[in-house]
Amino acid sequence: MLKQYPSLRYILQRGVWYLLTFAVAVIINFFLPRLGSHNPVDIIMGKFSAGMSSEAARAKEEAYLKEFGLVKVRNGEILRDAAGKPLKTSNTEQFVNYIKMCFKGDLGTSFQKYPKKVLQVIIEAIPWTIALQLPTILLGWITGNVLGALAAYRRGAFDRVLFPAALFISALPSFVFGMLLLYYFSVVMNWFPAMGGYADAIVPSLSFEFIQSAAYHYLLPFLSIFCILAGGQAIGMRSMGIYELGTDYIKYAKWLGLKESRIIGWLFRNAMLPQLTGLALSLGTMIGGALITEMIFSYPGLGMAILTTIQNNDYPMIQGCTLLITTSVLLANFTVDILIGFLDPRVKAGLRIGKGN
Amino acid sequence: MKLLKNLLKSPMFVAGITLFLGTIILALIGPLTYPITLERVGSQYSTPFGRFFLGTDHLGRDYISLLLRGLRASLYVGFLAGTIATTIGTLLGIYGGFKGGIIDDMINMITNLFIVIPSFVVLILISGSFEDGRSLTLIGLIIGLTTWPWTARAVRAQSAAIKSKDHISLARINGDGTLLVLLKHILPYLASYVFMVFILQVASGILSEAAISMIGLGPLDSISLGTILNQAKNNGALGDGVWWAFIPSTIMITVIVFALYLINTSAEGVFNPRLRK
Amino acid sequence: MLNKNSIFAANNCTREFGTGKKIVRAVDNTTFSIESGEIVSIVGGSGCGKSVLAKMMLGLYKPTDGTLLYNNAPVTNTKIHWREVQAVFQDPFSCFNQFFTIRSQLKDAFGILQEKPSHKEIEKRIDNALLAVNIKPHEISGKYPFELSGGQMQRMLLARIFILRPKVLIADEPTSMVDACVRANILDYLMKLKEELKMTIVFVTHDIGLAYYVSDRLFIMHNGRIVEQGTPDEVTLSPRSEHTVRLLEDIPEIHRAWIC
Ligand SMILES: Nc1ncnc2c1ncn2[C@@H]1O[C@H](COP(=O)(O)OP(=O)(O)O)[C@@H](O)[C@H]1O
Ligand SMILES: [Mg+2]
Repeated sequence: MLKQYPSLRYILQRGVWYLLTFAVAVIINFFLPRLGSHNPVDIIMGKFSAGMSSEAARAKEEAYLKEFGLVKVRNGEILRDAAGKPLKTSNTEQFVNYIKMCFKGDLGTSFQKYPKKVLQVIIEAIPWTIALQLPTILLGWITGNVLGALAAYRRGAFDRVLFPAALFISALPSFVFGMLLLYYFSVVMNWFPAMGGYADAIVPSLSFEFIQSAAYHYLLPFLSIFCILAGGQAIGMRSMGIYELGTDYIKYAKWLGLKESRIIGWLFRNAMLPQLTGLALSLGTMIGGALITEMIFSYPGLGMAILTTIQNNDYPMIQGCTLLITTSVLLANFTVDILIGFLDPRVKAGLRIGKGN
Repeated sequence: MKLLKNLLKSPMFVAGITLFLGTIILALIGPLTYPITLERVGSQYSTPFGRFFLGTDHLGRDYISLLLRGLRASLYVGFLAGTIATTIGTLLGIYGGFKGGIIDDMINMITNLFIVIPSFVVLILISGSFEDGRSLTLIGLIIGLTTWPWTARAVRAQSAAIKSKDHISLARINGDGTLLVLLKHILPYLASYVFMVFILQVASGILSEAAISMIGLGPLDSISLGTILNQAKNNGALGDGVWWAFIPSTIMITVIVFALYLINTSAEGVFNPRLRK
Repeated sequence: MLNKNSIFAANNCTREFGTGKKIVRAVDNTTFSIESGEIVSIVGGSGCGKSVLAKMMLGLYKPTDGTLLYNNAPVTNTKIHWREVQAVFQDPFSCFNQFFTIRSQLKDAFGILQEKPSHKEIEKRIDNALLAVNIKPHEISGKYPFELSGGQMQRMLLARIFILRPKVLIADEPTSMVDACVRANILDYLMKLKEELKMTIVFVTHDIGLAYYVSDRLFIMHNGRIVEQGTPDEVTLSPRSEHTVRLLEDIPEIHRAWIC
């Protein structure tokens, strides 16, 4: 049916595959936390019920059980057995319930911040993460590629300094680099604040004061992600560039005396596919990628949210965050597949052959 | 033998292996020569170079003791995760690449599935669900079980390439069975490759453990370099400038991982010309 | 044309690789028979399916369609088959496992024999086989495949055949990777195998000139099909297929002068 449209077919094919993967991811996301399970309500009750009378505690417990879909409900009433005890739902029923809720865009209710919705907590945290990551990734990617191409083209002293530095920085575990930056620049030199996204005294608003404070707090986490990313990109671009420079057409262009900027432009075009793939993948891991960096700098994004979530055993929150991270990674991979499909001559050739039959 | 000689000629490899063996020796011999104690022995955060050479933590415990224990735990987790991931990945990859057909398709599908589902997420989910009994071994196991697909994919490609070589045909008309062909006629050709993958898996295992510990899902039964960092962070050492709480363990992790990268990079340089031939 | 006593008999024998759109038909509907004691050459250009056909006769690939019989029973991939049907391959360098000594790999060949001879007997048979291909045993003792020359390696493959003494030898381009001088030697050894052991030989080559000299019959292959078969004189003097003509045109002048 779709034989006339090989590209569309390819996209659909990949799409179906990723949907399947997504389904598996959702199943994993739901059942893994229940592996070592104790009842999440026990945990939350343990926290709240300390000062309550047993009657009040039971009423409250049942409200929670209902809220989290752990007991059977009909017409808003909890179903009970002969002894008046609530009937528990099975894991499968909970799963079906969970899927239904997900489709309604409801990721459940946070234990810790009850009755706040998980989605609400995520929505509050995520702008910080994106604001920290998106510009950093884009800038780091561009800077890294330009430096890498220059190093490949110029070689010499520039390369001899840049390459080992980039190699060293990109091999450092990200949290190590973040900690060292934080210690040196904020504790020893006292140039930058050590924690948070803005000064405690300021209420977030669009005031000049707030923006200034936020920018001030932004710099260190920015640097710690930027340097590692740029270093990694530079290394990749450099080796691609050196390879491309060895090819005949570049030698010919040099011999013809083409302008340096033109040749570097060519280099870019030819080395771009793997680099673009890298960019899409980093954008996909954006949401989950800097958890630890955010933690180290106590930056108020998703990383911090997950940290407090974990410390408080807030299952619905954990599940919500991991689902979000997985989804963004899958989307990025899907994008990369499509990108490769349209840019990689080999895959493109395969598509065209498909057209023939 | 010749290979080893070539490796030892590479200064990068020598540096890497020296550093790495150094950390292993430190982890093994250290506890024998140094009186390890995990009790409170001093005041909170007492400064280094005094009674305690590397100071004490927020509970007044001696940092040298903690670090020696932590180093051993991190190396253990790295080796455990690396061994599991490399073994599973190599076996599935070699078998799938050689056999082809439906089994290969199935292995491929599982591999592709778990390559795109972020393993760190799986790690968080499982670690989070084991509230009690989250041991160092369990964490190593989980890391190993979530990271094998990379190895499987890489090894599969190599195995499929070797399968059509003439020496495999010759082995088969010698009457060698599948297992023998895999172990004797394919595995040796991949050994250097598998070795490099193993080195990287060990490094990533150590880093994964540190990361999962830092977000508070680390082992409950042992002290690792990651849990030391987690406690330093939780008790404000970072912002208060208590550098001895995190600098030494940071350096240790970096040195191990760096040493492993050095070994990997230099080994690649030595193995590759051979592979190309 | 199918003879009851044929040692190999193929009927519409076909082998495909891959599925769906990427399907490749490497051997396409071939029908032929090979009689006991003859030398048959399979001649064709690179990629025409010669090696796949050879591997099917060895039982390394199964036909995806049609039949391929050995002594009136389908070819199997069992030791029983390999006791009688053996092979030498094209690339002598990639034929042996780099990680084991040559001698130990010659020893491995004894694995298919029904009764393994005594240790002493094995060593003796290896030495004799080496001498049969003009190699002194000490020349290769303790040596690994990459320490020998291409000609030596090709002779190691032949030594293996002298050890196993199969009924049928399938020689897949045994001379294409060695120089002219070694080539003549190898052909001599093949003749010796035929005379001494009354071996049936299937000789795979892209060189129709060479095939002309050594064979009783020629099969010309193109694109997976056998496009022509007959005695060397029939095929070379009055070719009926354009593909045969093209193969004949590729022979160096000097050879052609001898043929015509
Ligand atoms: N294992 C295989 N899988 C897929 N295709 C194969 C395989 N072996 C051979 N082919 C294909 O079959 C065709 C014939 O190959 P081959 O028999 O090796 O040619 P030659 O006549 O040069 O020996 C080629 O197009 C080749 O690509
Ligand atoms: Mg061939």
